[in-house]
Amino acid sequence: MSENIFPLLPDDLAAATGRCQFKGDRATANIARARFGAGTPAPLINNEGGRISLGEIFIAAGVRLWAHKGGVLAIGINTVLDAGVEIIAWSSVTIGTNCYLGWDALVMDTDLHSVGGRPLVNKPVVIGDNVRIGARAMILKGVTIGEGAVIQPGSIVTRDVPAGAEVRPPAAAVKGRLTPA
Amino acid sequence: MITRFAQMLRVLASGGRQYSPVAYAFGALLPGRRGGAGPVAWLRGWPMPDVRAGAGAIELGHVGLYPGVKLHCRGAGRMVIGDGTFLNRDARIFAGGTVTVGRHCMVSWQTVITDFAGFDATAQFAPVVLEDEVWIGNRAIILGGTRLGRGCVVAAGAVVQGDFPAGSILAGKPAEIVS
Repeated sequence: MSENIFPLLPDDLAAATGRCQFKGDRATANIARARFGAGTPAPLINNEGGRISLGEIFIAAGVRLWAHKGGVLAIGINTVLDAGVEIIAWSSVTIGTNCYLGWDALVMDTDLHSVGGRPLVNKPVVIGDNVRIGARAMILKGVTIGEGAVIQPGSIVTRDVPAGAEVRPPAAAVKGRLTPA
Repeated sequence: MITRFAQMLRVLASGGRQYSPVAYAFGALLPGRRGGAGPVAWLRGWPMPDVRAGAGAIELGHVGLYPGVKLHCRGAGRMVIGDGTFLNRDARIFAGGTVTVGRHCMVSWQTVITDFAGFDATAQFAPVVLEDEVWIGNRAIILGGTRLGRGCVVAAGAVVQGDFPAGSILAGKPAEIVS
């Protein structure tokens, strides 16, 4: 397993002078150890009656963390949430240590609303240690990602990923050709 | 004064799309190390483009930056964008090595262009070269080690990595019916 290529650089930590925008219940949110990147929009942490627990992690601008009523959101130490990451916890989202989540990655353990009168089912998401998730990847409800797995940019993950596995999206293919002007 | 007034009228008549002298003035204030031929223009709106060269370098020609554009270098990353290219809303370019975008390219909303080659690649960063007049669709992802020839078209949502000759039309895989 290769090492994390996006470790926190000293520059990053020095630049992590931003502040987060917090909404909701502060009593059940432990965010004191997280570092926030500067920039707009400021990272938004929204705790609507859930529980949030963040270790010593780096959170870039534009990140949105949302724990709904009864939802648990826990992130281990040394994890990096890069710009635009969204994590939506209505039941439980657990992210391990030393993980990297790239630009605009989306992690959600719910479908946010039911379809056709069926009840809404939320299933917990567990992401192990040393997992690297590329830009625009989506991790959907009920997924467990094993330790050291690699989710390449653009993947949509709906099933469990074993430890050390690699997931990649279908690549673009040439569909036609323009006649040269 | 009259010239200035005429310029303002022109900007108004084009719905704010034409680069205004005011935007040029703001362009001069872009932070980080920056060189290049032309003035950078950004179009009014929030959030303003976020240009961070850090220890690297960003060379912008006469480029139009829409609101929300992010240009970031990591380490000694280097980014060159040619004249007449515009980056639409929320487009992001990341350079850990080299990213070169040619002239008169059109980069659509929420596109990610990065020279990051993939998590287990031997080289973390591989150069990205987009030649002139490349058109990139909405939410496409261009990864490291990509070379798009002149006039390539990338469809919305495609994930592109590799070497493609001039005039190629690239598209991703549409969703399938699961049940």
